[in-house]
Amino acid sequence: MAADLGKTDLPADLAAVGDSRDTDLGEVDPQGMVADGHEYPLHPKSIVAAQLTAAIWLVATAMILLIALLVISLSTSLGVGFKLMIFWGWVVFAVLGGMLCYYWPNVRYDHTRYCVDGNGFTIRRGVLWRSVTSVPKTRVQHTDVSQGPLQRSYALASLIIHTAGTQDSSVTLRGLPYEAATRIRDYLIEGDDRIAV
Amino acid sequence: MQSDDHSSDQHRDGRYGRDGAWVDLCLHPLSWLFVTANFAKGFIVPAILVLFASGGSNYELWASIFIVPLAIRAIVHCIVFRYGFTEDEMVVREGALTKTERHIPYARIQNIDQVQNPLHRLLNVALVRVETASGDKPEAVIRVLAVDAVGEMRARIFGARDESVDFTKRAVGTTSTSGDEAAEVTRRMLFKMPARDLVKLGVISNKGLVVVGAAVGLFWQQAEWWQPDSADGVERWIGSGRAWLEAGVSSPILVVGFVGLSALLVAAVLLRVFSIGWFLFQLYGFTLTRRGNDLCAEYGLVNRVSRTIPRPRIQMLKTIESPLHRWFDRQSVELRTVGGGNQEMDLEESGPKTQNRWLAPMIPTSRVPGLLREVLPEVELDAVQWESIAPRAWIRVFRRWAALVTIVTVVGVVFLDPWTAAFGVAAILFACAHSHLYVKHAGYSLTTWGLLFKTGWWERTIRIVSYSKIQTVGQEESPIDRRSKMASVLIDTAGAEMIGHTIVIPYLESEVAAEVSQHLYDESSRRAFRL
Repeated sequence: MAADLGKTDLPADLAAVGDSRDTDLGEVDPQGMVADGHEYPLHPKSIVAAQLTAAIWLVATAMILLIALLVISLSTSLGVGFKLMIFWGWVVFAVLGGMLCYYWPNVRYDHTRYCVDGNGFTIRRGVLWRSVTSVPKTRVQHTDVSQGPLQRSYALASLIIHTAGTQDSSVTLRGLPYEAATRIRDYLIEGDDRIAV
Repeated sequence: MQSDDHSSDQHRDGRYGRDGAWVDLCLHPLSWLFVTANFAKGFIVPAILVLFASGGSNYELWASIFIVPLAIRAIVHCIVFRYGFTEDEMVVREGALTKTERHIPYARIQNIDQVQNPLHRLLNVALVRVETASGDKPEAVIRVLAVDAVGEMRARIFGARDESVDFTKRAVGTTSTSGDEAAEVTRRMLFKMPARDLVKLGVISNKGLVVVGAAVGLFWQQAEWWQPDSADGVERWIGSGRAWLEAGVSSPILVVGFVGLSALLVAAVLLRVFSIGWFLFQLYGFTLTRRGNDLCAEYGLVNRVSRTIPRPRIQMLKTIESPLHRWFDRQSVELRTVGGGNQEMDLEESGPKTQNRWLAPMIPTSRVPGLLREVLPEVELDAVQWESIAPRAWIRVFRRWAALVTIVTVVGVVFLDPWTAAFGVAAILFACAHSHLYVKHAGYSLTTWGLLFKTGWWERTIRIVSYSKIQTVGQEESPIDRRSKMASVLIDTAGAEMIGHTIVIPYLESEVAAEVSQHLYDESSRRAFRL
């Protein structure tokens, strides 16, 4: 874990990380150590994946809403002006939703960092409510690397770390480069010759 | 023990488990009785109620004919059921048509509970629950075994484990500890709870409500069983209650106040009496003994429970001290093991839930440090150096209260009575005192072996976790936290409650929070966790 665990002004950190969003810093150097203690951002493509996922949800919600509004306006005898107002309300909802779908993944990306060090795995995330979660390597019970269809097409993966804990019994990080996810997984479970007694 | 003696030719007769384990121990001959009772539990009570209440001829009565197939099923279950012990596993086989064979490694067994209701005690048998870390349900419920057989089982399982903690190094094939040897492991009484302490515990806690809830539930059930039109009765009650209220409104306020107050008083006294009864029933004769590396708690007036908890399996310790505790000069000590916080009331089936998690329900304050040392030898409760949370945190606590009080007061003044403002002033003063006391009594301590966290000025609690039990370390900042440059540190263990982390240290200066979480992270990753 980086020494500045408590540093709160994350956007300022971006300067230190540099122009990582353009280079593929998300890719862990294949020759280098996995546990280098540096903070990495997620893969930039994860923004697109998140945007698409959000967009699918938005379209589905907006369509259901639209159908509901049409049914209501056709089956009731409300004034035309009122019905138009409802329609414009729907348009505003769709536009605002669309903007949120576009911008929020960017903001969230800027505030998400992960770090692998000799102790284990640390995730720092959250825009309004910020959190840092550290999982010691010695507490990792098992790990999953999973890919949905969208993630597969961008070569992204989710890393899921399971512990024996209660609240944090599984810690999930989405949007890692697939390569990095498997390397981190291998690191976290390597030398796992612990035998529970 | 003979179960190790798996000599060649008997391999063929099907009594062996997967790895040639001898699985030939049977249930007690009378087990079918208890199994039937358990199968039939669902509808036997209504059936009996119907029988007595309305003189038979109901379909529920006919339904009780189903007891016969249930009994047959139970008998088959008892004939087929087998269990046994191998070098490092307990094996349970059951099922007549679909056979299942379950292997439970000794190392995974969290605790063994033995439950005896009066009928069990009469027949000198007991129900056994074998629990692992795998969630809500016990790994195996064995209904029922002779008490001697339970003792043997315990000796077998815990004996094999105590013999060498690192039992992977044990040569496979050597004969393990016999039951007698294991029983010789020193047994020491740690704590015995006198009945008058149970009375005090009943006075302190709110368990009376549970009794009332159960009684209400039972009443509803019965009312429905023999009075289909009981809803009318309730309406009549409500009607008469309303009449009372209306009469009250018209009569002098003093009378209303008097009647109301005395009703409250009676209710409070009744609740306490129920509460005392509950604890006497559940925890009568609570004793805690130490046997080698295990703690053994025994309690219960009617249902006698005996729990064995391996000491290293304890994830967290918690002491509780309310003002009444202080008045009696007592504290309660709880422990958390793995297995979720499923708050089930069914004592037969569910394992270490609710009150079963006591280390000591009530213990003289002076004896608490000694008791904790028995579980975690490093704890020096008297010599803890407490670090306080951020001193300016009181402003945040106060602000939260003040906001709430302001809203309530404004609403009160506008809609009810201008005099509500007086309440507002009093509440603000209280909030001020509360926030200072809160900060004064909150604190944490990072020691060489673990973390202590104390909180609360009214009901004071101390939570103790050793580094080796910490699963994840977190740090959290809400928007308000960030504005005031503070953060919380969160610690998760395997023994947390359903809601929330095991320990949350709030209102730390953000640099301090960073240091604390880094320290916890370093320390816990240096230590192996063994479940």
